[in-house]
Amino acid sequence: MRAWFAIAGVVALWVAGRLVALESDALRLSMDAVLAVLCLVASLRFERGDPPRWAWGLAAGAQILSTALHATQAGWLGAGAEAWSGPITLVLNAFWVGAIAMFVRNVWSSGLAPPWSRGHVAGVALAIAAALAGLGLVVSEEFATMREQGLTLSDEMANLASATADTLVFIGAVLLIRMVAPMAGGRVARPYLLLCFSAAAYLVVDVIVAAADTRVYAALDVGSQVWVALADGALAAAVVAQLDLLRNRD
Amino acid sequence: MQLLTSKSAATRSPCVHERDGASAGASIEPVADLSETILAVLRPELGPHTSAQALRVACKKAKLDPDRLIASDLPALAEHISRMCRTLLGKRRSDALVEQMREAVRHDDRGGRP
Repeated sequence: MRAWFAIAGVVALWVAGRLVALESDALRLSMDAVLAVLCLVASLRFERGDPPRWAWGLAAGAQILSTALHATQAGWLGAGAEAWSGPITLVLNAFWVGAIAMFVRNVWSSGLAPPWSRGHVAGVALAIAAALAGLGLVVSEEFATMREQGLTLSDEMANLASATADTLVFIGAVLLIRMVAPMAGGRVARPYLLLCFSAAAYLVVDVIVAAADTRVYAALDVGSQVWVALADGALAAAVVAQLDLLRNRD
Repeated sequence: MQLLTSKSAATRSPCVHERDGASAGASIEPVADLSETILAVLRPELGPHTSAQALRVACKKAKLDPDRLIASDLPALAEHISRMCRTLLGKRRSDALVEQMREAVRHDDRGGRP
């Protein structure tokens, strides 16, 4: 129970910091950088050859690129750097998809994943269908925006790639939840469940942003920022839970 | 524990130094329940359900009957459990868990409870 209070504390602290940082590029970038460092520390706490080391390493790589992307968008890296934001977005999303795929593979290869009943298959299929429906909504809205505002395909590619990656990460998270659910009550489940919450929150952000009408966009944007803050908070808490798991209690 | 077998805890065989029938007439001295010792170490990390599953899978791989474990089965079981845990916890933490199991069994051999 104490651990869950600590995790809730980390999430609350992160959400508050993130919302305060909305108007400050420096503060927002600092929080991105802290997440990158946390993921890197989690990765390096594992030994060479430990499967979770690579998964957390990819997550750290994604967060480092995310920090670079936001630095680019804030204009910190010069005007020419803006051209790199598209490729950086693509690579960082690929890193996240790779990370979640490795987490799923790790749990699966442990031999401790539970067998799948028909009910479980149906439940997971339903969640995946909902995620794909969300992606469909995002894609149609992005193309509608492109037509109305005369944006080029490349302008929207980064958003589409991001939404597709978030959907894939969410699908990975759904599989993880199913595999990790029987481990609930054990410390090993905490980082995975928090990662899953983070993935779901990012998908919610995509849907909110895509569904936002220009008239209500300001209100929805604040809503999406709360979800971004929750997603980042959950990721920070997942790393803290992972580090706690690796702490030797002898 | 009830997930390990359908038998109740009260009817489970305790961990013994000698397997039944290994030496006719030899006393089978119960020192502790090896299953319970292993589960007590795994439970905080994996949760009650998955701990029982880990032990069940380890017994299957080591070709051991989970109801008739003896202290000398620990190395074989520990190796399989460590391998399973490594993908989730890493080598260092898995080794620490195995060492905790060994320590608990040593403690039981001295007549104490872990």
